Amino acid sequence: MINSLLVTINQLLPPAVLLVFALVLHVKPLGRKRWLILSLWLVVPTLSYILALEQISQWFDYLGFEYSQMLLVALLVLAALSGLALRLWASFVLLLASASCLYLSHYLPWLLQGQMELARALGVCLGVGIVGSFAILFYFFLTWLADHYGPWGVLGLFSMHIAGSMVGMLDIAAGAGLLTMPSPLVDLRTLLDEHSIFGRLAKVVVGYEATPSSLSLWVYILTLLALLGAAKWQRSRQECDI
Amino acid sequence: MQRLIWILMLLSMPAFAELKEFKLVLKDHLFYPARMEVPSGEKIRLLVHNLDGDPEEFDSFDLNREKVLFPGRINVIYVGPLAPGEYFFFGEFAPDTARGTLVAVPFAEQRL
Repeated sequence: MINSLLVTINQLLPPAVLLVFALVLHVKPLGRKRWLILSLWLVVPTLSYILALEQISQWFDYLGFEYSQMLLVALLVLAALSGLALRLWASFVLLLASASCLYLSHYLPWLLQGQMELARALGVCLGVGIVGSFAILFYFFLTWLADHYGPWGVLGLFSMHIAGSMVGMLDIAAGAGLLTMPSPLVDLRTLLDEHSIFGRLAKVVVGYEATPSSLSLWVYILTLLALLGAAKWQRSRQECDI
Repeated sequence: MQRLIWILMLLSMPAFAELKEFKLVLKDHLFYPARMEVPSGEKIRLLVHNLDGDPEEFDSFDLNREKVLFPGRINVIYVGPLAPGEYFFFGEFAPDTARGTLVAVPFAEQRL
């Protein structure tokens, strides 16, 4: 039970955090029709991708899984950039659809395997409850942050979260043999280990890494600047319109 | 998009050339061999065959790798170049049993 609880928290926390970011940043309320469209765009691609993953994983000399995951991260970053710059509904949908395919592709194959024993079901329910509670608290925290300090706090956190995903793509590329990661620049594990409770939270929310390499640091900073630049450009355009 | 993937593959071909290959098997939620010597200082190709009926997630904090191992399928993970030392890995879905260690040793010391 403990293991299924940990697996559930580990795997569901990133999509939950992204969903909260998306809901807070997407200022317009979602009507029933848009919720329906969004649900369809989340469920159909995610299930199709996960059902096809076993086959995909065997493509390209057994690297199909990695290539598809890298493509999903690229789509996620693209959706975040276009969402911040243009505030398009399509970007919002693409962001959540790619995140759902990306993050649930590890969890759903495990969840749907074999028979669901009572202990596993209990662990999953508890995990979903904990992640749900965290997501609600995080939602209130972000709205409080936006109310008291303006939008830039939330935009900054969101950009750091997406930049962290981009760094995650480097790890996937290294696992696929496409690049060799340079040695870490610093080792912050004594300060905050990314596999501890707070380290994991920091990793999920702002893309914290305890042992970043120069390459991951550059990718993180450049992605962060691009996202903040897109948000700044959108705001200045809005002010010009007024 | 398929063209982009092919370009990526072609670009990565030189990196894959002449890599040493090591085989791991996952059976009954156990890795075989549970301890394996690999050469340090060079990139290696790890072939993990999941013979179980359930998926597993290969996870290693030491190697900074995470990969879903689909049931009955062969999975490839590129690792290294590693400094000499021990690198622990485990299956996230069965962490009590699916555990193993890669021991990176200089080529001359490696038992053949």
